[in-house]
Amino acid sequence: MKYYKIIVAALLLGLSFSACDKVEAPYKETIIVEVNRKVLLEDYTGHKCVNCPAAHEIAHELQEIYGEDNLIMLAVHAGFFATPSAGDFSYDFNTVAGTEWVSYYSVEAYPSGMVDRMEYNGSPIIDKDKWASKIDEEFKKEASLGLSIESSITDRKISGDISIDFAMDLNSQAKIQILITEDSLIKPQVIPGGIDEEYVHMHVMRGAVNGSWGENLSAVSYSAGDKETISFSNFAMGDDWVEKQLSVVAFVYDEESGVVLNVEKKKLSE
Amino acid sequence: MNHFLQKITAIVFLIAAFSFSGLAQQSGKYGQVSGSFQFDAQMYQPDSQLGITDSIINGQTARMNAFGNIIYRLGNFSAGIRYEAYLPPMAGYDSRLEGQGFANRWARYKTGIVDVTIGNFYEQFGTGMIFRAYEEWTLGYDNSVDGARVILTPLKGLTIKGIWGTQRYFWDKYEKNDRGIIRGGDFDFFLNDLLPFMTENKTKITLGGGMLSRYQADMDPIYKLPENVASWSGRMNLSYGSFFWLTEYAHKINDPNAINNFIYKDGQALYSSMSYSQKGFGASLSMKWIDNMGFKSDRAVTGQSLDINFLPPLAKTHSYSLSAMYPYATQPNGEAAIQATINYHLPKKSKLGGKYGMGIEFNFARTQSIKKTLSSDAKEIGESGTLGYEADFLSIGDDLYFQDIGIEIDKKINRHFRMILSADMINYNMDVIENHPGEPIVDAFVWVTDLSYRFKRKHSIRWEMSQLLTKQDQGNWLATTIEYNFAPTWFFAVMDQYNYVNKDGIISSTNSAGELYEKTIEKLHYPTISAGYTKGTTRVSLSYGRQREGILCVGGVCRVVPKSNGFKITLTSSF
Repeated sequence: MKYYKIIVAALLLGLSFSACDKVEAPYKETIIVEVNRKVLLEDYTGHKCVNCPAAHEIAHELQEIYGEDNLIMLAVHAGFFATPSAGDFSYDFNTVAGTEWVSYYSVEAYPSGMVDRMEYNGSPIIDKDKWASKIDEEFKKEASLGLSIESSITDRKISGDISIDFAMDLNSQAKIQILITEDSLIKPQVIPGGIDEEYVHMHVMRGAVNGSWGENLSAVSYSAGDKETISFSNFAMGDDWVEKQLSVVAFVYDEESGVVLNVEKKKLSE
Repeated sequence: MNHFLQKITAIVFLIAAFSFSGLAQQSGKYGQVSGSFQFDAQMYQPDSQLGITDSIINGQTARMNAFGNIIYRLGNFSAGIRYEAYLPPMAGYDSRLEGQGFANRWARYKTGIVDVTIGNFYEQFGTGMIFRAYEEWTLGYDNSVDGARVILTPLKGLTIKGIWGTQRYFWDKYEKNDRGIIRGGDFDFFLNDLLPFMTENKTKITLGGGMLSRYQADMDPIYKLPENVASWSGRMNLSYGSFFWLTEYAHKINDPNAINNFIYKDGQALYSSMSYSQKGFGASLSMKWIDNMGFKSDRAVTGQSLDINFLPPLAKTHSYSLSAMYPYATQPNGEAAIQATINYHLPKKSKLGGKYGMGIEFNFARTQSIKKTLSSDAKEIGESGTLGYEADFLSIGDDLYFQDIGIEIDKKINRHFRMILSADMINYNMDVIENHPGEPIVDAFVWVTDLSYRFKRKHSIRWEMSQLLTKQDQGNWLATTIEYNFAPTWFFAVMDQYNYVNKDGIISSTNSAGELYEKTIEKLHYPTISAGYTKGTTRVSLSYGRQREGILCVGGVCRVVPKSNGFKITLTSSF
C-alpha cells in the first residue's frame, strides 16, 4: 500500500518533468500572413511612460509584417503618463477624444492597446505582448465592409468624403469615427535609462473630426452591395500641425458592441 | 445627501459586522463554523494642495474593499468560501478588482495519509522560488490556484504534494487559452524520521525538491514560444541545536515573457539563509542570487497578478513610517543580495543594560545587479527573440539597487518607561526599483525615537518622533505621533508627517548620466487623527486626514499608495 502511494506521487512528479519544451534558435516564426481586411491597433501611450517605446517597437514590427496600410496604428496620448509638466514634457499631446476613451475604457496600465476594440475577458484593453496574436486573429476575419477616403486641405482646414462599400448585410446600428493623425513629431520621450530628447512620435492622434464617438450611419441596416458616403468639411488644423505629416483615419464600428468593422487611413498630402 | 447616505451605510455596516462577530463557534455533531471578516472604506475629498480635484475624484467619493471568509469543518472534511467586494476598489488598488462575488470556494478532505483539496487553494513549494500561491489583502493581491491539490504523507517524514489548476486573475473566469494551466509536484524527506540511524541525531536534515510546469498555447505569430515551461528546485534544511541553515536552488527553462522582454535564456536562482540563536543573542546571514526568474501564468502579463513563483526579499521590513518610505521591490530579471542581522540583549544589571537589560539590533542589507554580458545572438543585452545575455552563476554587477544599514536599541528604563531608538542609512535606486529612468539614487538617513510611558496598569502614552534626511526625491521629512492607549480596548492617536523638503524647497542633483535634475516641491503637512476600539476579536479603527503618496511593499511585492485626503474606516473581526 505504501509503495503504491509513492508510485502515484512519483508519476505525478514525472508528469510535470515531461512538461517541458526547449526551443532552439531561430526563435522567430516564418510568418504566413493572411490579410482579409484592415485592422485598427490603438496604442495608449504617453511621453512620460518608460515602457511605451517598447510598445511602439512592437507596433512597428507588426506593421512591417502585415503592411503599414493594413495594420492601422493610432497612438492615443492620454492619461497620467501624457500629462504635460514643466521642462522636457511641457508639450500637450492630449486630445478630448483620447481623454474620454481612457476614462471610458479604464485604461490604467501603460502601455496598453486595443485591437479593433474587440473584447477579451470582458475588456478590450490588451497588454502589448498579446497584440500580435489578437491582430493575427483579426486579419483572418472576413471584412463586412470596405472604406475609402478622399480629403483636401484649404486654409489649414480639412474636408473629405468617406465611402463605405458593404460586402455583407449589416443589421445593427453602426457608427463612423473620423480622426486626424500626425507622424514624425519630434518631442522628448522617457526611455529606459533616461530621456530621448528627439524621439520620433508616430501615428499621434491629433483630433476627432466628428466627436469622440463619431456619428451614426444614416440607416440601421444595409445589404451587401450597398454604398454610403459620409462627408466632413472645414475641420481646423492645430497651429503646429504639419500638413505633409497628417493623415485621415476612418473606422466603422458597431454601436452596441463597440467592435471595429473595418478601418482605413490615407495621407492628406497624397 | 449623498454623503449623508454614505455615512449611514457605513454605520449600518459596522453594527451588522459587530452582530456577525458575536456569533459563537457552532460546534458539535453538525460541525463547526468559523470565519473572518474585514471591511475597509475610505471617503475622499478634494485637496488643492495635494492636487486632488473634484474631477480626479470623479464622483467616486467613497470606495470600499471588503472580504469575508466562512469555513465549515466536520471531522476530516472542511469547506470554505471567500466573498470579496471592491465597490469600487480603494485608490491605489487595481481597478480590475472592481466587482463583488465569491472569489474563492473550496472543499478539503484530510486524513493522516491523504489530504485532498478541490477548488481554490494556496500552496508553496520550498521558499516559493518555483511556486507560491498566496493572498495579501493589503496589496489587493491574490494568485490562488483553482483546481486540485493532493498532499500525501505515506511515511512518517515524507510529504508529497501535487497541484494542478489555473490561477486567479481578478474576476476573470478561466477560458481556453486566456492564460496558462499550472501543474507540479513537490516532496520533503525528513531524514531523521526516514533513516533509523538518524533518529536520535541532533543534526536534523530535510531534503526537498519540486517541479512546476506551465502550459500556455502559442498563439503568437512572431515568436516560437515554448508551450510547456518547467521550473524545478532542490533544497536542504539543516538544523543543529540553535543553528539553522536553509538553501534552495531553482532553475527555469526558456520562458520568453513580457518581464524578460521575450528572451530565451534559462533562469536560475540560489537562496541561502542561516541563523543562530541563544538566550540574549541571535544572528542571521542570508544571500540570494536571481537571474531571469519572473514566472507567470500568462507570459504576456506584467505587474502584480498571475505570479507562479515568489522571490523572497532580503531587506528589513520597517514598521516606522519614514523608515519604510523607501522599501525594496524584488527585481526578477536579476539581483544579487545579502542580508545580515545581529540581535543582542545586554544582560540585566550590566553597565549598559541597567536594571532591565537592553536590546540592540544591527541590520545590513545590500542588493546589486548581476553581471550580464552579450550573448552571441544578441545585438544588445535583453534583445527580444534572442538568448538575451549571458550571466555567470553568482556574478555580481556594478549597479547598486538598494542598501540599508541600521541599528535599533530597545531599552526599558523603569517599570513605566520604555524607549526605542533607531537609525538607518538607506540607498534606494529609484530608476530600477520604481522604473523611473534618470532619477538619481536616493541617499536617505532616518532616525526614530519611540518613547512609551505606562502610568497605570492599562493606560499608556506613546510619543514617536522621526526624521528622514535626503537631498533627493522629495527631500526631508519630519514625523511625529502621539498615541494614547487604554488597553485592551481603546486607542487615540494624532500624527503629522511634514515634508519640509529643505530650506528653499528645491531638489537639485545630478543623476548617473550626468544630467542636472531640479524640481520645486511644495512644503506640506500630512496630519491625521485616528482612533480604534477592540473588543474580543473585533477591531474598528477610524482615521481622518491626509495620506502621503508612497509605496507599500509586503515581501518584496509592492503597490503604489496614492496621496489622498479623507475619512477611513477599517473593521476586522473573526469568530
